[in-house]
Amino acid sequence: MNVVEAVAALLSDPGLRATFRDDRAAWIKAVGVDADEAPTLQALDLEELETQAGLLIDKRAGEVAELIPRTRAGLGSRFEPLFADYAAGAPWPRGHLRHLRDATRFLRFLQARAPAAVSGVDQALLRSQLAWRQGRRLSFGLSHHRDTGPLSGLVLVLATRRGKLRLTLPLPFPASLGRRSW
Amino acid sequence: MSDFAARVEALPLLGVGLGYRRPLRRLFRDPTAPLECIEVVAEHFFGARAPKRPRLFGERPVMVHSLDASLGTPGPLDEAYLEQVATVAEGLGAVLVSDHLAVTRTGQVELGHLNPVPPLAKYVGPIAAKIRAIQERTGLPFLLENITTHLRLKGDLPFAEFYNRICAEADCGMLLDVTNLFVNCRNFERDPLAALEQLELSRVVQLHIVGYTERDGRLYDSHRAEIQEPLYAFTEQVLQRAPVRAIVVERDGHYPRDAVLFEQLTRLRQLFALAVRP
Repeated sequence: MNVVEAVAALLSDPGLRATFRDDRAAWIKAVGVDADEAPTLQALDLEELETQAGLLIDKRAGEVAELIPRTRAGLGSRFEPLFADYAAGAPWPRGHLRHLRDATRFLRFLQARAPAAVSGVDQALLRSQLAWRQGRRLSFGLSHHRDTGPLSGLVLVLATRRGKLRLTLPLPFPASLGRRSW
Repeated sequence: MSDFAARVEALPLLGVGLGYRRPLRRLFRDPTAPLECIEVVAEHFFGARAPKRPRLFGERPVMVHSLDASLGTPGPLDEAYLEQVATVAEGLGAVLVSDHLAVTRTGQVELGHLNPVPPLAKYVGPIAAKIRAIQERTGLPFLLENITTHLRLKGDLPFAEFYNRICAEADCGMLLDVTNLFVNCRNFERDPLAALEQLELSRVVQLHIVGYTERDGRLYDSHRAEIQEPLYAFTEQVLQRAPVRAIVVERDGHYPRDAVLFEQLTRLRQLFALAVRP
């Protein structure tokens, strides 16, 4: 392993950082970094390492938040801890569509943890953007409201990269169904 | 004259511009907007379709800025990635291309954002070779940008020498992010002007600027704030020392009212006019 790979591994893995913090010399020896590169690892400032690692998560969360503004607003102060939980178990997707894919996966994660906050409009727009970037023209998402009086019903969202069409069909959904999105 | 110097000499004065982002599209349509050039993020135009120059760009010169070449990662340049950048540059009729002196990924790990490269002499040659390959494939001048970092990596070269030597060996230019340099210096208690003067300023062709945010006494290059007074002052110092051809405001969120953005662009144009234009 070269020093760039070693630093990248440390930045992306809190467990490795803990091992490094406990016994730096043993960690450096174990990963087998070249002798001329080892001084870079020996000189690493642990606080700076944590700050940079935290910043990467913040940047990632910020990119996702921009793509799902309604869901972000719905989560309020729960967004950051939920995103941290999600990120701990999900490495960054690779490639130029990674933000769109990350946001899509985060919404999927939220379906289990905070389904009421997931915006069908965000989902539809994300699908539309992904479809566009992959060379397809249209995509759509469906969601239905919960128990919000006269607006309760099936909400259909058709999104293209140029905008969205949102139709509400009043239907008497039982409140127990909650809010779902496809 | 080096190839790079000849290429840059052929560049017109590009002026002051803005990074193209979809939420800011209306500004690019506005004929009164003080926008002289446009920078696009290459990855925003990657995809299944051949990139076409949007009509709203008009006749303004376009610079293509990529984010993920990960030039600091040891090993060969990602040829597929380079091909996509070149396709975007050709499709948009770009006048130059740029990316960062950074690591965004390795074979094992996707970091998703810009991280520092250890300033080791052994990395100068490989990074320079990748830049030369980009210049050859695109046929355009390449500018290497400095990043902001909260992690200092020690190597056998001071950072400025590392940056200078790569640009000299690659015969490329510098995209000096004044905010990044300023933020790094403030966070690590260095004098921004002293750090500036260690750079080979004759290679600085373009500037990036945007306001920083502050949290717990530390500055962050969040791309979400208005340009602060110390940054204007620092930019003025840079413009007096470097043959800058373009200044680009890089805004990625918390977009202000149009008038606020126009005011910042106009102020930069005034600084630019005083320092650079005859």
